[in-house]
Amino acid sequence: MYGDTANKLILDAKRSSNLSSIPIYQSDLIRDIVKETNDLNKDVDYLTGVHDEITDQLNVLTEQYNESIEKLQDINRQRLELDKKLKEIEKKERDPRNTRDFSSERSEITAMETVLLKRKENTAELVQDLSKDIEQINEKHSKINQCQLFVTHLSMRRNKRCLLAYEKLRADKIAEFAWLNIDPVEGTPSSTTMESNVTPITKNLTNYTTSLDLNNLNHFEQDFFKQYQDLIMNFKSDFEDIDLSGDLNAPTNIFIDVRVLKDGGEVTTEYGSFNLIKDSQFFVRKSDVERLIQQGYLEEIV
Amino acid sequence: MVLPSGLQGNFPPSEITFFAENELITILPRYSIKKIDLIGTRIPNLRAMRREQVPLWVALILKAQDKCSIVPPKWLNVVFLKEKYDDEVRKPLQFSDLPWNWLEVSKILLEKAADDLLDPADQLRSVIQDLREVRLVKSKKGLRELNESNIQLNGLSLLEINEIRPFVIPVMNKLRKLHETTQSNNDTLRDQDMDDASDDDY
Repeated sequence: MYGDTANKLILDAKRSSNLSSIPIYQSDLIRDIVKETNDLNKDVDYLTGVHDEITDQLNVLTEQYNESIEKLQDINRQRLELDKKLKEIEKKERDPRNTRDFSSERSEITAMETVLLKRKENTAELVQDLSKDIEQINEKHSKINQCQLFVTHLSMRRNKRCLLAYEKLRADKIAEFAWLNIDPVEGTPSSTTMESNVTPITKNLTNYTTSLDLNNLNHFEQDFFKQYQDLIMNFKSDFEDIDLSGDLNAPTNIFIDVRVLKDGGEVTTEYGSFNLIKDSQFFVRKSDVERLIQQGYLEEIV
Repeated sequence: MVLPSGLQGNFPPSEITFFAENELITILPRYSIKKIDLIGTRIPNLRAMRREQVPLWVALILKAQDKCSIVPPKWLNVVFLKEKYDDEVRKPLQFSDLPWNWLEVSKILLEKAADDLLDPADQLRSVIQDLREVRLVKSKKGLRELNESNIQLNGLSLLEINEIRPFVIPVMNKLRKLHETTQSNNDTLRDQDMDDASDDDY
Protein backbone atom coordinates (compact mmCIF):
# COMPACT_ATOMS: atom_id res chain seq x y z
CA MET A 1 0.00 0.00 0.00
CA TYR A 2 1.07 3.56 -0.56
CA GLY A 3 2.24 5.26 2.62
CA ASP A 4 3.66 2.14 4.25
CA THR A 5 7.28 3.15 3.71
CA ALA A 6 6.49 6.60 5.05
CA ASN A 7 5.00 4.92 8.07
CA LYS A 8 8.23 3.03 8.63
CA LEU A 9 10.13 6.30 8.49
CA ILE A 10 7.85 7.86 11.08
CA LEU A 11 8.27 4.86 13.37
CA ASP A 12 12.02 5.32 13.09
CA ALA A 13 11.64 9.00 13.91
CA LYS A 14 9.53 8.15 16.95
CA ARG A 15 12.15 5.70 18.16
CA SER A 16 14.94 8.22 17.81
CA SER A 17 13.02 11.16 19.28
CA ASN A 18 14.05 10.20 22.82
CA LEU A 19 17.67 9.39 22.04
CA SER A 20 20.43 11.72 23.11
CA SER A 21 22.20 11.29 19.78
CA ILE A 22 21.11 11.51 16.17
CA PRO A 23 20.91 8.11 14.43
CA ILE A 24 22.05 7.59 10.88
CA TYR A 25 20.06 9.21 8.10
CA GLN A 26 17.58 6.74 6.56
CA SER A 27 18.57 7.44 2.98
CA ASP A 28 17.21 4.11 1.63
CA LEU A 29 13.76 4.59 3.09
CA ILE A 30 13.68 8.16 1.91
CA ARG A 31 14.74 7.17 -1.59
CA ASP A 32 11.91 4.63 -1.63
CA ILE A 33 9.40 7.23 -0.53
CA VAL A 34 10.56 9.71 -3.13
CA LYS A 35 10.32 6.99 -5.78
CA GLU A 36 6.83 6.15 -4.67
CA THR A 37 5.86 9.79 -4.85
CA ASN A 38 7.30 10.00 -8.35
CA ASP A 39 5.20 7.00 -9.38
CA LEU A 40 2.16 8.63 -7.89
CA ASN A 41 2.97 11.77 -9.82
CA LYS A 42 3.08 9.72 -13.03
CA ASP A 43 -0.34 8.36 -12.14
CA VAL A 44 -1.60 11.87 -11.71
CA ASP A 45 -0.21 12.85 -15.11
CA TYR A 46 -1.92 9.85 -16.72
CA LEU A 47 -5.19 10.57 -14.94
CA THR A 48 -5.17 14.19 -16.02
CA GLY A 49 -4.52 12.93 -19.59
CA VAL A 50 -7.55 10.68 -19.32
CA HIS A 51 -9.47 13.55 -17.88
CA ASP A 52 -8.55 15.76 -20.86
CA GLU A 53 -9.51 13.01 -23.28
CA ILE A 54 -12.86 12.59 -21.65
CA THR A 55 -13.43 16.31 -21.68
CA ASP A 56 -12.60 16.40 -25.41
CA GLN A 57 -15.01 13.56 -26.04
CA LEU A 58 -17.59 15.33 -24.02
CA ASN A 59 -17.09 18.51 -26.00
CA VAL A 60 -17.55 16.67 -29.30
CA LEU A 61 -20.68 15.02 -28.04
CA THR A 62 -22.10 18.27 -26.75
CA GLU A 63 -21.42 19.87 -30.11
CA GLN A 64 -23.25 17.05 -31.84
CA TYR A 65 -26.05 17.36 -29.37
CA ASN A 66 -26.38 21.06 -30.00
CA GLU A 67 -26.32 20.50 -33.75
CA SER A 68 -29.07 17.92 -33.62
CA ILE A 69 -31.16 20.16 -31.43
CA GLU A 70 -30.71 22.90 -34.00
CA LYS A 71 -31.74 20.44 -36.70
CA LEU A 72 -34.80 19.57 -34.67
CA GLN A 73 -35.74 23.20 -34.48
CA ASP A 74 -35.15 23.53 -38.21
CA ILE A 75 -37.47 20.61 -38.92
CA ASN A 76 -40.11 22.10 -36.70
CA ARG A 77 -39.86 25.37 -38.61
CA GLN A 78 -40.18 23.59 -41.95
CA ARG A 79 -43.20 21.75 -40.67
CA LEU A 80 -44.79 24.97 -39.60
CA GLU A 81 -44.18 26.38 -43.08
CA LEU A 82 -45.72 23.31 -44.65
CA ASP A 83 -48.69 23.63 -42.35
CA LYS A 84 -49.09 27.21 -43.47
CA LYS A 85 -48.93 26.18 -47.11
CA LEU A 86 -51.49 23.47 -46.49
CA LYS A 87 -53.82 25.93 -44.87
CA GLU A 88 -53.45 28.28 -47.82
CA ILE A 89 -54.29 25.49 -50.22
CA GLU A 90 -57.29 24.56 -48.17
CA LYS A 91 -58.42 28.16 -48.27
CA LYS A 92 -57.95 28.28 -51.99
CA GLU A 93 -59.83 25.00 -52.36
CA ARG A 94 -62.72 26.33 -50.39
CA ASP A 95 -62.80 29.42 -52.52
CA PRO A 96 -65.84 28.97 -54.83
CA ARG A 97 -64.18 30.90 -57.61
CA ASN A 98 -61.39 28.43 -57.73
CA THR A 99 -61.74 25.51 -59.99
CA ARG A 100 -58.18 24.34 -60.10
CA ASP A 101 -57.38 21.01 -58.58
CA PHE A 102 -54.84 21.17 -55.76
CA SER A 103 -54.79 17.48 -54.92
CA SER A 104 -51.40 16.88 -56.48
CA GLU A 105 -49.82 19.71 -54.47
CA ARG A 106 -51.58 18.48 -51.38
CA SER A 107 -50.24 14.98 -51.73
CA GLU A 108 -46.79 16.45 -52.34
CA ILE A 109 -46.96 18.43 -49.12
CA THR A 110 -48.25 15.48 -47.08
CA ALA A 111 -45.47 13.34 -48.49
CA MET A 112 -42.94 15.97 -47.47
CA GLU A 113 -44.57 16.14 -44.09
CA THR A 114 -44.25 12.40 -43.52
CA VAL A 115 -40.61 12.62 -44.51
CA LEU A 116 -40.10 15.46 -42.08
CA LEU A 117 -41.91 13.53 -39.37
CA LYS A 118 -39.64 10.62 -39.86
CA ARG A 119 -36.58 12.85 -39.80
CA LYS A 120 -37.84 14.48 -36.67
CA GLU A 121 -38.23 11.12 -35.01
CA ASN A 122 -34.72 10.12 -35.99
CA THR A 123 -33.21 13.37 -34.73
CA ALA A 124 -35.14 13.15 -31.50
CA GLU A 125 -33.80 9.67 -30.99
CA LEU A 126 -30.30 10.88 -31.74
CA VAL A 127 -30.72 13.71 -29.25
CA GLN A 128 -31.88 11.29 -26.62
CA ASP A 129 -28.98 8.94 -27.28
CA LEU A 130 -26.49 11.80 -27.16
CA SER A 131 -27.85 13.15 -23.91
CA LYS A 132 -27.71 9.68 -22.43
CA ASP A 133 -24.10 9.31 -23.57
CA ILE A 134 -23.19 12.65 -22.11
CA GLU A 135 -24.81 11.74 -18.85
CA GLN A 136 -23.00 8.43 -18.73
CA ILE A 137 -19.64 9.93 -19.47
CA ASN A 138 -20.27 12.66 -16.98
CA GLU A 139 -21.08 10.15 -14.32
CA LYS A 140 -18.11 7.94 -15.06
CA HIS A 141 -15.87 10.93 -15.29
CA SER A 142 -17.01 12.62 -12.13
CA LYS A 143 -17.10 9.51 -9.99
CA ILE A 144 -14.16 7.42 -11.07
CA ASN A 145 -11.65 9.83 -12.46
CA GLN A 146 -12.06 12.43 -9.78
CA CYS A 147 -11.90 9.82 -7.04
CA GLN A 148 -8.68 8.38 -8.46
CA LEU A 149 -7.09 11.78 -8.76
CA PHE A 150 -8.11 12.73 -5.25
CA VAL A 151 -6.80 9.57 -3.62
CA THR A 152 -3.51 9.84 -5.49
CA HIS A 153 -3.12 13.38 -4.31
CA LEU A 154 -3.85 12.36 -0.75
CA SER A 155 -1.18 9.67 -0.89
CA MET A 156 1.36 12.16 -2.18
CA ARG A 157 0.47 14.64 0.51
CA ARG A 158 0.80 11.98 3.20
CA ASN A 159 4.26 11.10 1.94
CA LYS A 160 5.21 14.73 2.01
CA ARG A 161 4.00 15.16 5.56
CA CYS A 162 5.94 12.14 6.79
CA LEU A 163 9.14 13.31 5.11
CA LEU A 164 8.78 16.79 6.57
CA ALA A 165 8.09 15.44 10.05
CA TYR A 166 11.21 13.28 9.92
CA GLU A 167 13.40 16.08 8.65
CA LYS A 168 12.01 18.57 11.17
CA LEU A 169 12.75 16.24 14.05
CA ARG A 170 16.35 15.87 12.92
CA ALA A 171 16.71 19.60 12.35
CA ASP A 172 15.44 20.27 15.87
CA LYS A 173 17.92 17.82 17.29
CA ILE A 174 20.77 19.42 15.36
CA ALA A 175 19.71 22.83 16.65
CA GLU A 176 19.62 21.50 20.22
CA PHE A 177 23.12 20.18 19.84
CA ALA A 178 24.39 23.37 18.27
CA TRP A 179 23.37 25.31 21.36
CA LEU A 180 25.35 23.02 23.65
CA ASN A 181 28.65 24.29 22.32
CA ILE A 182 30.52 20.97 22.38
CA ASP A 183 32.43 19.44 19.54
CA PRO A 184 30.64 16.82 17.47
CA VAL A 185 32.06 13.30 17.27
CA GLU A 186 34.20 12.71 14.21
CA GLY A 187 34.80 9.35 12.60
CA THR A 188 33.23 6.06 13.59
CA PRO A 189 31.34 6.17 16.84
CA SER A 190 32.43 3.71 19.49
CA SER A 191 30.96 3.27 22.93
CA THR A 192 33.97 4.83 24.64
CA THR A 193 33.86 8.06 22.69
CA MET A 194 30.13 8.26 23.20
CA GLU A 195 30.48 7.93 26.96
CA SER A 196 33.28 10.40 27.33
CA ASN A 197 31.25 12.84 25.32
CA VAL A 198 28.43 12.88 27.86
CA THR A 199 29.67 15.74 29.97
CA PRO A 200 28.45 16.49 33.48
CA ILE A 201 26.38 19.42 32.34
CA THR A 202 24.51 17.33 29.82
CA LYS A 203 23.77 14.52 32.25
CA ASN A 204 20.82 16.31 33.76
CA LEU A 205 19.31 17.25 30.42
CA THR A 206 16.87 14.48 29.66
CA ASN A 207 15.66 14.06 26.10
CA TYR A 208 18.29 16.47 24.92
CA THR A 209 20.64 15.84 22.05
CA THR A 210 24.03 15.73 23.69
CA SER A 211 26.16 13.96 21.13
CA LEU A 212 26.33 14.24 17.41
CA ASP A 213 28.14 12.14 14.86
CA LEU A 214 28.73 14.19 11.74
CA ASN A 215 28.83 10.99 9.68
CA ASN A 216 25.22 10.27 10.58
CA LEU A 217 24.06 13.46 8.94
CA ASN A 218 23.52 13.78 5.24
CA HIS A 219 25.20 16.49 3.26
CA PHE A 220 22.39 19.03 3.60
CA GLU A 221 22.12 18.48 7.32
CA GLN A 222 25.84 19.05 7.76
CA ASP A 223 25.44 22.31 5.88
CA PHE A 224 22.48 23.20 8.04
CA PHE A 225 24.48 22.48 11.20
CA LYS A 226 27.33 24.72 10.11
CA GLN A 227 25.05 27.55 9.12
CA TYR A 228 23.04 27.23 12.31
CA GLN A 229 26.25 27.47 14.33
CA ASP A 230 27.08 30.67 12.46
CA LEU A 231 23.61 31.98 13.23
CA ILE A 232 24.09 31.29 16.93
CA MET A 233 27.48 33.00 16.85
CA ASN A 234 25.94 36.05 15.20
CA PHE A 235 23.13 36.14 17.70
CA LYS A 236 25.43 35.78 20.66
CA SER A 237 27.67 38.57 19.48
CA ASP A 238 24.74 40.96 19.94
CA PHE A 239 24.65 40.16 23.65
CA GLU A 240 28.30 39.92 24.53
CA ASP A 241 27.81 40.33 28.28
CA ILE A 242 25.48 37.37 28.56
CA ASP A 243 26.53 33.80 27.96
CA LEU A 244 23.44 32.64 26.09
CA SER A 245 24.59 29.06 25.68
CA GLY A 246 25.60 28.68 29.30
CA ASP A 247 24.15 26.68 32.14
CA LEU A 248 20.35 26.87 32.31
CA ASN A 249 20.15 26.14 36.01
CA ALA A 250 19.54 29.03 38.35
CA PRO A 251 22.71 30.21 40.11
CA THR A 252 23.09 29.09 43.70
CA ASN A 253 26.60 29.28 45.07
CA ILE A 254 29.32 31.67 44.07
CA PHE A 255 32.17 29.39 45.09
CA ILE A 256 32.06 25.68 44.43
CA ASP A 257 34.24 22.63 44.89
CA VAL A 258 35.24 20.98 41.64
CA ARG A 259 37.00 17.74 40.89
CA VAL A 260 39.08 17.25 37.76
CA LEU A 261 37.78 14.39 35.63
CA LYS A 262 40.45 14.24 32.95
CA ASP A 263 43.87 15.71 32.39
CA GLY A 264 43.86 18.96 30.53
CA GLY A 265 47.27 20.43 31.23
CA GLU A 266 47.43 24.03 32.28
CA VAL A 267 44.26 25.90 31.48
CA THR A 268 44.06 29.63 31.73
CA THR A 269 40.67 31.14 32.37
CA GLU A 270 39.77 34.79 32.43
CA TYR A 271 40.53 35.03 36.14
CA GLY A 272 43.64 32.92 36.51
CA SER A 273 45.20 29.59 35.58
CA PHE A 274 44.74 26.04 36.85
CA ASN A 275 46.81 22.97 36.41
CA LEU A 276 44.31 20.29 35.55
CA ILE A 277 45.59 16.99 36.97
CA LYS A 278 43.16 14.10 37.14
CA ASP A 279 41.38 13.63 40.50
CA SER A 280 42.63 16.85 42.05
CA GLN A 281 40.15 19.24 43.66
CA PHE A 282 39.77 23.00 43.60
CA PHE A 283 37.66 25.55 45.41
CA VAL A 284 36.94 28.16 42.77
CA ARG A 285 34.46 30.74 41.64
CA LYS A 286 31.70 29.06 39.68
CA SER A 287 31.65 31.58 36.85
CA ASP A 288 35.37 30.91 36.19
CA VAL A 289 34.98 27.21 35.60
CA GLU A 290 31.50 27.01 34.06
CA ARG A 291 32.99 26.59 30.60
CA LEU A 292 35.32 23.83 31.80
CA ILE A 293 32.43 22.02 33.46
CA GLN A 294 30.48 22.25 30.22
CA GLN A 295 33.40 20.82 28.28
CA GLY A 296 33.64 17.88 30.66
CA TYR A 297 36.99 18.56 32.35
CA LEU A 298 35.54 19.33 35.73
CA GLU A 299 32.72 18.01 37.86
CA GLU A 300 30.98 19.95 40.55
CA ILE A 301 31.04 18.33 43.98
CA VAL A 302 27.72 18.72 45.73
CA MET B 1 13.03 23.61 20.38
CA VAL B 2 16.32 24.78 21.79
CA LEU B 3 15.12 24.69 25.38
CA PRO B 4 15.27 21.15 26.81
CA SER B 5 11.82 19.62 26.83
CA GLY B 6 11.98 19.24 30.61
CA LEU B 7 12.06 23.02 30.97
CA GLN B 8 9.30 23.76 28.48
CA GLY B 9 6.02 24.77 30.07
CA ASN B 10 7.12 24.15 33.62
CA PHE B 11 9.67 25.46 36.12
CA PRO B 12 12.32 23.22 37.64
CA PRO B 13 12.38 23.39 41.45
CA SER B 14 15.72 25.20 41.36
CA GLU B 15 14.08 28.00 39.41
CA ILE B 16 11.31 28.34 41.96
CA THR B 17 13.89 28.52 44.73
CA PHE B 18 15.54 31.26 42.67
CA PHE B 19 12.28 33.24 42.60
CA ALA B 20 11.87 32.81 46.33
CA GLU B 21 15.40 34.09 46.95
CA ASN B 22 14.42 37.43 45.50
CA GLU B 23 11.92 38.15 48.28
CA LEU B 24 12.87 40.60 51.00
CA ILE B 25 13.69 39.32 54.44
CA THR B 26 14.66 41.06 57.69
CA ILE B 27 18.20 40.56 58.96
CA LEU B 28 20.14 41.60 62.00
CA PRO B 29 23.63 42.57 60.77
CA ARG B 30 26.65 42.04 62.97
CA TYR B 31 28.91 44.49 61.18
CA SER B 32 28.32 47.79 59.51
CA ILE B 33 28.38 47.59 55.75
CA LYS B 34 28.02 50.49 53.37
CA LYS B 35 25.10 50.52 50.98
CA ILE B 36 25.51 48.77 47.63
CA ASP B 37 23.65 49.84 44.49
CA LEU B 38 22.97 46.78 42.38
CA ILE B 39 21.23 46.88 39.01
CA GLY B 40 18.26 44.93 40.34
CA THR B 41 17.96 45.97 43.96
CA ARG B 42 19.53 48.34 46.42
CA ILE B 43 21.11 47.10 49.57
CA PRO B 44 20.78 49.84 52.20
CA ASN B 45 23.39 50.91 54.73
CA LEU B 46 23.72 48.11 57.23
CA ARG B 47 24.54 48.98 60.79
CA ALA B 48 25.33 46.45 63.46
CA MET B 49 22.28 45.17 65.38
CA ARG B 50 19.90 47.38 63.40
CA ARG B 51 17.15 45.45 61.58
CA GLU B 52 17.13 45.95 57.86
CA GLN B 53 15.31 44.40 54.91
CA VAL B 54 17.42 42.81 52.16
CA PRO B 55 16.76 40.21 49.48
CA LEU B 56 16.99 36.66 50.75
CA TRP B 57 19.98 35.81 48.56
CA VAL B 58 21.99 38.66 50.07
CA ALA B 59 20.99 37.53 53.53
CA LEU B 60 22.19 34.02 52.71
CA ILE B 61 25.58 35.24 51.52
CA LEU B 62 26.02 37.35 54.66
CA LYS B 63 24.83 34.47 56.80
CA ALA B 64 27.33 32.11 55.19
CA GLN B 65 30.07 34.56 56.19
CA ASP B 66 28.61 34.93 59.69
CA LYS B 67 28.00 38.63 59.15
CA CYS B 68 24.36 38.65 60.09
CA SER B 69 21.60 36.63 61.64
CA ILE B 70 18.33 36.21 59.84
CA VAL B 71 15.09 37.19 61.53
CA PRO B 72 12.68 34.42 60.62
CA PRO B 73 9.39 35.52 59.01
CA LYS B 74 6.48 35.70 61.42
CA TRP B 75 4.74 32.67 59.94
CA LEU B 76 7.75 30.42 60.51
CA ASN B 77 7.10 29.17 64.02
CA VAL B 78 5.55 26.03 65.40
CA VAL B 79 2.48 27.69 66.98
CA PHE B 80 1.41 29.48 63.83
CA LEU B 81 1.98 26.49 61.58
CA LYS B 82 0.11 24.17 64.00
CA GLU B 83 -2.80 26.58 63.80
CA LYS B 84 -2.66 26.43 60.01
CA TYR B 85 -2.54 22.67 60.15
CA ASP B 86 -5.69 22.61 62.32
CA ASP B 87 -7.27 25.00 59.80
CA GLU B 88 -6.45 22.62 56.99
CA VAL B 89 -8.01 19.71 58.84
CA ARG B 90 -11.09 21.71 59.78
CA LYS B 91 -11.80 22.99 56.28
CA PRO B 92 -11.43 20.07 53.88
CA LEU B 93 -12.56 22.08 50.86
CA GLN B 94 -10.05 24.93 50.89
CA PHE B 95 -6.37 25.62 51.41
CA SER B 96 -5.31 27.78 54.32
CA ASP B 97 -3.61 31.06 53.71
CA LEU B 98 0.18 30.74 53.51
CA PRO B 99 2.75 32.82 51.64
CA TRP B 100 3.25 31.77 48.02
CA ASN B 101 6.78 30.60 48.74
CA TRP B 102 6.38 29.09 52.22
CA LEU B 103 7.88 25.76 51.21
CA GLU B 104 11.01 27.15 49.60
CA VAL B 105 11.70 29.80 52.22
CA SER B 106 11.23 27.38 55.10
CA LYS B 107 13.47 24.85 53.39
CA ILE B 108 16.21 27.40 52.78
CA LEU B 109 16.05 28.79 56.29
CA LEU B 110 15.97 25.35 57.92
CA GLU B 111 18.99 24.37 55.91
CA LYS B 112 21.15 27.46 56.14
CA ALA B 113 19.96 29.42 59.15
CA ALA B 114 18.66 26.79 61.52
CA ASP B 115 20.33 28.48 64.50
CA ASP B 116 18.34 31.70 63.98
CA LEU B 117 14.93 30.10 64.17
CA LEU B 118 12.81 30.51 67.29
CA ASP B 119 11.74 26.89 67.55
CA PRO B 120 13.80 23.72 67.32
CA ALA B 121 14.40 22.76 63.72
CA ASP B 122 13.11 19.22 64.07
CA GLN B 123 9.74 20.35 65.40
CA LEU B 124 9.42 22.87 62.58
CA ARG B 125 10.37 20.26 60.06
CA SER B 126 7.76 17.82 61.27
CA VAL B 127 4.94 20.40 61.31
CA ILE B 128 5.91 21.61 57.83
CA GLN B 129 5.92 18.03 56.62
CA ASP B 130 2.45 17.51 58.12
CA LEU B 131 1.14 20.65 56.47
CA ARG B 132 2.59 19.63 53.15
CA GLU B 133 1.08 16.17 53.32
CA VAL B 134 -2.39 17.34 54.23
CA ARG B 135 -2.30 19.85 51.39
CA LEU B 136 -1.05 17.22 48.96
CA VAL B 137 -3.97 14.97 49.86
CA LYS B 138 -6.34 17.87 49.27
CA SER B 139 -4.90 18.78 45.89
CA LYS B 140 -5.05 15.12 44.86
CA LYS B 141 -8.70 14.98 45.87
CA GLY B 142 -9.30 18.20 43.95
CA LEU B 143 -8.06 16.58 40.75
CA ARG B 144 -11.33 14.66 40.64
CA GLU B 145 -13.06 17.92 39.85
CA LEU B 146 -11.03 18.54 36.68
CA ASN B 147 -13.23 19.81 33.88
CA GLU B 148 -12.79 21.45 30.52
CA SER B 149 -13.43 25.05 31.51
CA ASN B 150 -11.82 26.12 34.78
CA ILE B 151 -10.08 25.15 37.99
CA GLN B 152 -9.78 27.11 41.20
CA LEU B 153 -6.58 26.80 43.24
CA ASN B 154 -6.93 29.43 45.94
CA GLY B 155 -4.13 29.42 48.47
CA LEU B 156 -1.90 26.93 46.69
CA SER B 157 1.78 27.88 46.71
CA LEU B 158 3.90 28.17 43.57
CA LEU B 159 5.75 24.92 44.17
CA GLU B 160 2.53 23.02 44.75
CA ILE B 161 0.99 24.43 41.59
CA ASN B 162 4.17 23.60 39.72
CA GLU B 163 3.90 19.97 40.79
CA ILE B 164 0.43 19.43 39.43
CA ARG B 165 0.82 21.60 36.33
CA PRO B 166 2.27 18.95 33.96
CA PHE B 167 -0.66 16.72 34.82
CA VAL B 168 -3.50 19.22 35.03
CA ILE B 169 -2.91 21.19 31.85
CA PRO B 170 -2.75 18.29 29.35
CA VAL B 171 -5.77 16.64 30.95
CA MET B 172 -7.77 19.84 30.79
CA ASN B 173 -6.72 20.39 27.20
CA LYS B 174 -7.85 16.89 26.25
CA LEU B 175 -11.14 17.39 28.06
CA ARG B 176 -11.68 20.69 26.29
CA LYS B 177 -11.03 19.13 22.89
CA LEU B 178 -13.40 16.26 23.61
CA HIS B 179 -15.97 18.72 24.84
CA GLU B 180 -15.65 20.84 21.71
CA THR B 181 -16.08 17.86 19.39
CA THR B 182 -19.13 16.57 21.25
CA GLN B 183 -20.50 20.10 21.21
CA SER B 184 -20.06 20.51 17.46
CA ASN B 185 -21.38 16.98 16.91
CA ASN B 186 -24.46 17.85 18.91
CA ASP B 187 -24.86 20.99 16.85
CA THR B 188 -24.70 19.14 13.55
CA LEU B 189 -27.03 16.48 14.92
CA ARG B 190 -29.49 19.15 15.93
CA ASP B 191 -29.22 20.74 12.50
CA GLN B 192 -29.89 17.39 10.88
CA ASP B 193 -32.88 16.92 13.14
CA MET B 194 -34.16 20.27 12.07
CA ASP B 195 -33.69 19.34 8.42
CA ASP B 196 -35.54 16.09 8.91
CA ALA B 197 -38.34 17.84 10.69
CA SER B 198 -38.69 20.43 7.97
CA ASP B 199 -38.69 17.64 5.36
CA ASP B 200 -41.47 15.93 7.20
CA ASP B 201 -43.46 19.10 7.33
CA TYR B 202 -43.60 19.53 3.59
